[in-house]
Amino acid sequence: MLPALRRAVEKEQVVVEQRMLTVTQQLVIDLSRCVGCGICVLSCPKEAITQGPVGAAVKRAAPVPPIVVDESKCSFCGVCVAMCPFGAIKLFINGEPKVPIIEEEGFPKLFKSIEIDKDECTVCGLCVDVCLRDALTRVLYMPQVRSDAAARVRLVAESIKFEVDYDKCTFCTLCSSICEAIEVVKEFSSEEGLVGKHVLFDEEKCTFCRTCEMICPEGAIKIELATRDKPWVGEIVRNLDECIACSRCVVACPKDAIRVEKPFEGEIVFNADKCPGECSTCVEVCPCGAIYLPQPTKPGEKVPRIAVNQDLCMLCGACVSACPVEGAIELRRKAVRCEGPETDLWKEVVEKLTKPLVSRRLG
Amino acid sequence: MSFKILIDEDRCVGCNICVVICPQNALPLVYEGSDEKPLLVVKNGKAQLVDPSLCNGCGVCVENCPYQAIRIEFP
Repeated sequence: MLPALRRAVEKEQVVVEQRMLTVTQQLVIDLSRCVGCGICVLSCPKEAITQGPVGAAVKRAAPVPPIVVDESKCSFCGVCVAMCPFGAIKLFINGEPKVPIIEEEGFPKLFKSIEIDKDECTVCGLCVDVCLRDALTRVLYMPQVRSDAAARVRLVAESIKFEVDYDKCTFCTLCSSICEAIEVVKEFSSEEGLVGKHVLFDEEKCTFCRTCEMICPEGAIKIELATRDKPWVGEIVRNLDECIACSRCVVACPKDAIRVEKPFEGEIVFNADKCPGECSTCVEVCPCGAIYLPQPTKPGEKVPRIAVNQDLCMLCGACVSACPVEGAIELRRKAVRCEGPETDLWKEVVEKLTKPLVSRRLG
Repeated sequence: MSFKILIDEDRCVGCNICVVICPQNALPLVYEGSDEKPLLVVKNGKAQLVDPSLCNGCGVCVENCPYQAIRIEFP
């Protein structure tokens, strides 16, 4: 009987399928990306998604998915696909990845952005090291220069000036005998004897080792290097699909060259006095690494049982979903940013997402 | 609740670790005189669920059971 519905938990994904005569729609949840934040649960217009044991699922303590889609309620509209900040849900229509509701402008995309100021960036790669999601990659334009000293110098040299004081030069060829960048040309005239005084210099081969300058017995060689303003060595390449706008890179950047705009505005509050401690479920589920267990700096110092770095939090709510203690975590989203038409459905979803959330029992 | 906590009685030795470690269980101990019920207790040498609806599925008991006696499953 059509439509034929199916739900299957495969290795790292949950597939929810609706098969009709000519169209097969599949909602695929990538469990390696799902953090159990519950944004899809709140966004689903059909209330087809429920939360599972988020803590146990994300920590891989139990072989269960953090969210469950009820195949009989799902309308395959794609709102969850548009809303998931982690790119964990994909919609396939006849095997092709497609989100008609975005393509037909029925719903906008969740907005996030990451900008890198290329003038300030020194391509140090600290941002790449701290990124938890492979959203940044360091690409070096440098050729293989480890064993090529001349190429290495050209990375930093605008030009190399090589000057020979011909009044001093005696044509001894010591310089050319130790360096392949220098060639001494001797011209002999039968009438006048030695006439040509040419010391040729090939800038491409120079490694700026300055041995020529030092070896010249007459001190006739002067070599100078003009450096580039900024060695052009590479760039940091962004992958916005992977970025979750946590701002770890912004905090790590020593040059303040990165600007991240998060999809949500608001605040998260940890009521540390309610936390029993030692559970650490929130720390483990947080996709941003924003939650930490404060350590006393001196003996006897009282520290809260749990704390959050607001700068790193992107207000997804995974901790609220996973926390087993009532009232220990409060999430108050005030605004949701989007890219595309702010349709009525979007406004409804925003209204649901901006209601305060408090960690509680699912019941 | 969309999931089930299953305790394997054959494996459980009643060591009490799950009772001590459950964050939800800690609450009645933290707030003395509170009428909160515990989620887990050990009775007759076996762990038992008192009120499964209290469970939020954090998985701390599953991770810490030395005998792998606790599982979380979907119906």
